[in-house]
Amino acid sequence: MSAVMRTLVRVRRRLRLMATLRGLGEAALLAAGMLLGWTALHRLGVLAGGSASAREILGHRGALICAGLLLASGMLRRAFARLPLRLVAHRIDVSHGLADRLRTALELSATAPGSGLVSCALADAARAAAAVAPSRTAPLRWPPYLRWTGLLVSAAVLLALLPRSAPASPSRRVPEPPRLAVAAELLEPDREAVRELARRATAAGDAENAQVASELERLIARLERGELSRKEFFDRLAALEQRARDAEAELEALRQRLRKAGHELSQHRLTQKTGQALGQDRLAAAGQELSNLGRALEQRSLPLDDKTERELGRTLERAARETGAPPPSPTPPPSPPPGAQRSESPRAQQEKAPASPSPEQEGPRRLTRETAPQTSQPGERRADGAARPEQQLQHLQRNLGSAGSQLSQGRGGSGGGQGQAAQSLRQAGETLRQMQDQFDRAERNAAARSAMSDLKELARRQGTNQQAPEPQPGPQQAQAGGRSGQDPAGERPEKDQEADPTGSPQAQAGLGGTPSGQEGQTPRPQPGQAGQQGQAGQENHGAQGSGDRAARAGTSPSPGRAGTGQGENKAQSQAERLRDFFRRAQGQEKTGDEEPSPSPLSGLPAPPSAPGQKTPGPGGEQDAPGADSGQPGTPGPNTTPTGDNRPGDAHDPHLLGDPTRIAAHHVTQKLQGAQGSGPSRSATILGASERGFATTAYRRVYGDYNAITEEVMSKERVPPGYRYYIKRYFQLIKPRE
Amino acid sequence: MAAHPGTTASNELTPERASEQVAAFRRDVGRLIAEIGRVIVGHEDIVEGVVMALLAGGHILLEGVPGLGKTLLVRTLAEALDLRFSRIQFTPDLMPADIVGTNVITEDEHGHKRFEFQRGPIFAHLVLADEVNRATPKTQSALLEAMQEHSVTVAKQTYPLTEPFFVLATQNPLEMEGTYPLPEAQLDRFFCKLKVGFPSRAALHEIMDRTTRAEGVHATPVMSHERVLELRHLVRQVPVARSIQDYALRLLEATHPAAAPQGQKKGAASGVSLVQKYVRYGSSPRGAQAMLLGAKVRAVLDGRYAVASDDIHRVARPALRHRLILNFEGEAEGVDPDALIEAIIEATPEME
Repeated sequence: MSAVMRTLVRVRRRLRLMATLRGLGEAALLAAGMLLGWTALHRLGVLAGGSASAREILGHRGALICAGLLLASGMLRRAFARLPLRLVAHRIDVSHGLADRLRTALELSATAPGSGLVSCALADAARAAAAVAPSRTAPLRWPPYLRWTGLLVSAAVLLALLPRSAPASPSRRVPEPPRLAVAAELLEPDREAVRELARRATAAGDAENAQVASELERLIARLERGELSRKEFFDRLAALEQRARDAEAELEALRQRLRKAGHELSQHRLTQKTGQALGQDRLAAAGQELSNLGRALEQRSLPLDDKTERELGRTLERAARETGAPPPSPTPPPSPPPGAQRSESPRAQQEKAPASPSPEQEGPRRLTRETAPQTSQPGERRADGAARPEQQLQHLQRNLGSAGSQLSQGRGGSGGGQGQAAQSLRQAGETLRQMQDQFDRAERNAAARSAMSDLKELARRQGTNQQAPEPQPGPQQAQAGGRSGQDPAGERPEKDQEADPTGSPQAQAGLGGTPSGQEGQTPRPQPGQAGQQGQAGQENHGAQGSGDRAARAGTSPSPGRAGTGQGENKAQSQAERLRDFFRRAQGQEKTGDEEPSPSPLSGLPAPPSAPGQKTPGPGGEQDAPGADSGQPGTPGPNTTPTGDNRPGDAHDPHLLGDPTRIAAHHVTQKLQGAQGSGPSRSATILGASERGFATTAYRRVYGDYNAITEEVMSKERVPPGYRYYIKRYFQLIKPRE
Repeated sequence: MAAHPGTTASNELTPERASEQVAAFRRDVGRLIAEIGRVIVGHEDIVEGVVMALLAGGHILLEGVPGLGKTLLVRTLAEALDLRFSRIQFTPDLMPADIVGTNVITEDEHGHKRFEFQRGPIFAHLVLADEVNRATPKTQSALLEAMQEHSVTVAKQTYPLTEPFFVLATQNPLEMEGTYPLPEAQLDRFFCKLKVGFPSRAALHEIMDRTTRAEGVHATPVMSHERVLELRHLVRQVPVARSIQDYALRLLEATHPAAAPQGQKKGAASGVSLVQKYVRYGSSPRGAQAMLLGAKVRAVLDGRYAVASDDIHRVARPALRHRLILNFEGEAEGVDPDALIEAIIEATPEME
């Protein structure tokens, strides 16, 4: 027995060693995790505070001490764990296949008296113990979790070595807004208009409008390439519009001042023509008159007495004051487009806006600053050397005032004074002639604004189409394909729809648009087919001008386009009805904002019926539940569960005689089957045994019940739909022959 | 199980003598199994189980469809052991007296009449109770009393049966019409229940070769009934460690749905949950006795001097399968008791 005990002790020692290594691995994993957490807390600054001694304790030295303690405790716990010898014996028996020889020997030596077989068993165990190899029972293994421990330690070291940086705020990825894409064909008219504007502005030396035209052209190009989102596009367009609007407002103020000045000048006979010309916004003519007056003064060809000279001087001074006076209440700005606050002037926005403008307001302002850097400072010289209207007005005021003061102070009689007045008047005349260019610029400005308005409308409509839901397969896809105009091969199909959104009577009658209307019903139209049809309609019926211009201008559509639009409307209507039918066929309630169901005779195509279903025969009892006959079960497409036509209430329209009416309150219920495999076989048998087994033959029971139902159906007025179900039910449960 | 009379072996065994006896045990039993194998093709596990029950002093219930060689096995065993063999075909009209015997009036040479006990077929060393479930419970109980008590009582007179007394009962699991299934209490008296399966194709070829030629194969006696009793005595001397015995008892406890033994693995498919779901009543202590005795035979057959837990594993199924009384769910779901026992073994750790 001593041999067995020696083996057991030896193996137990080995087992303790391996347990110690295992404890080391487990403790190392814990320590590594602790180190990582410690380092993370340090990096986050949680353990950074406190006194110096506390920092020392909570620092890396403290972490290392804790890790060491963890390692030691883990190893010691495993090394000194309870390990009884019988367990060691069992492990040896299992590992060496000794059939419990050692365990039995250990127990028999302690309890049983030494009989012959026991002695044999002990001797057998001793022989087996001599061949025991401890390494087989407790093979040398690396401590567990070394890989994880290494990973954790590496992570802790990396975390400790990472340079400190400001905690980055969690960046939330803002989804990129969808790009606005407009077909090149749609943009071509606007591009042409902008080019024309640029040509005219360049020819007239109107640098500002030329710049606006250039900006617009770039905007159109980017829009065509799909580089702009909807918001970006409208922001940039609003900035350009703001520039044009500011320029118009400035010109309007200038016009008002000049008219007032003209009114003053028309009070004197010598400047009457000048004043009238100013009142009629003929600045060139007024300038010419002023120059002539100045030239006459200079040549002393005018019979001027002192009184007339002073009156002329005062008139000129009043006119100068009017030109320098702040503009009277400006004309009310044109009503802004719907939903566009961008139409307000930057000054008004500045007055209205709070101290810190919102980002939405900041965007157009920034764009305004970017696109119109020259307009940021009043009185600043333009790039081409032309003066701003305000400066020109100041020039005019200064010259008129100078001439007026010279003449009103009676110094005109002196040669020098009259010469100075004449020079001032000539300069004023020149200034007025230059200002005529500003007035000519207003026309180009209006053209630019018109082009911008067209672009805006086009983009708005395009954005509406893009926001529409994804086209569904089948008829909806055909409808969407005809409406969106996004088909690369298609040629502006949206024009066809825009041509007559409401549908003319002719179009509604489907006279002109039958082919295109059928196009909408095609389950899968060929790419661009609908658009080509629209173009064909334009060509055949002589659409005037470009299609989109006519459509946007609301001109009367050609019959071809109207027909196509009606066809798409029809397809859309049918698709809506089909969707509604399927929705209600699936038991979904109709929402309150939906359109009411069309009448049963509205030409709705019959929904796909189940195999075996038949439509009611004329004058007879129907053989199958029709889709729209209100049979029990699923409501038909033309009935709603909440309406009068509840399941079982409807009647066969071909029924002869008075319809029956069952005085019952119907409740539409949707029952769900129980999930799962059902009760077990034992539960089924047990339940059947508790209820009692059948004692009557099924055939007999069936015959009895079938006879009763036949009798009831022949005597009583059972609705045709119910008759079908009763017959079908008994047909299905009929016993086999 | 009661100690059997007629034990001839000495209770005191020296290690050398014990070692010799174990070696002789293995040699004799090996010869017996080989002799049976000359006649019985395949069914090695059945043969081993029968021999194990014979040496452990128990009775065997063989279950299998007709034609698989059950009767031949028993007859061959009787031939190989040189034992008195009797076969009783159980039928519904079989009476207890037909089994145990009856008193008949006899007349001696002086003309005096007296009752004389006429011994029935039960008075044999080896009794084959063929299709035991076809007899009425009354007749079955007569047999089962003899199995348990190793004696027969007729007219207040008890007649001991000769040792070794070994009953092999067979029953057909298919034809259940007109049968009387053995009650649980009587099933418990069988040491183990062996299921005779269908032989493999190679075994079938061998059976065809042996049974369709002119000369038949018969076993020759290789062991006397005295030697059987010696071997039985030796088996009972095999020591069992307390932890091994405890393991057998924990397995026994685990068959009971009411008692949830500690230390068992629990889970949806564990032995505990299956037993609680499908078992109405577990094994009686006779099950543990059968396991330990069978394990002892196995240990000696393997040349060991003590029982191991593997021996318990190997005998657990035949020793316990007929002692698990399934509840209604178990019967209705067709639960196999062997699967339950397997789950119990898996859920019960060898070391507590």
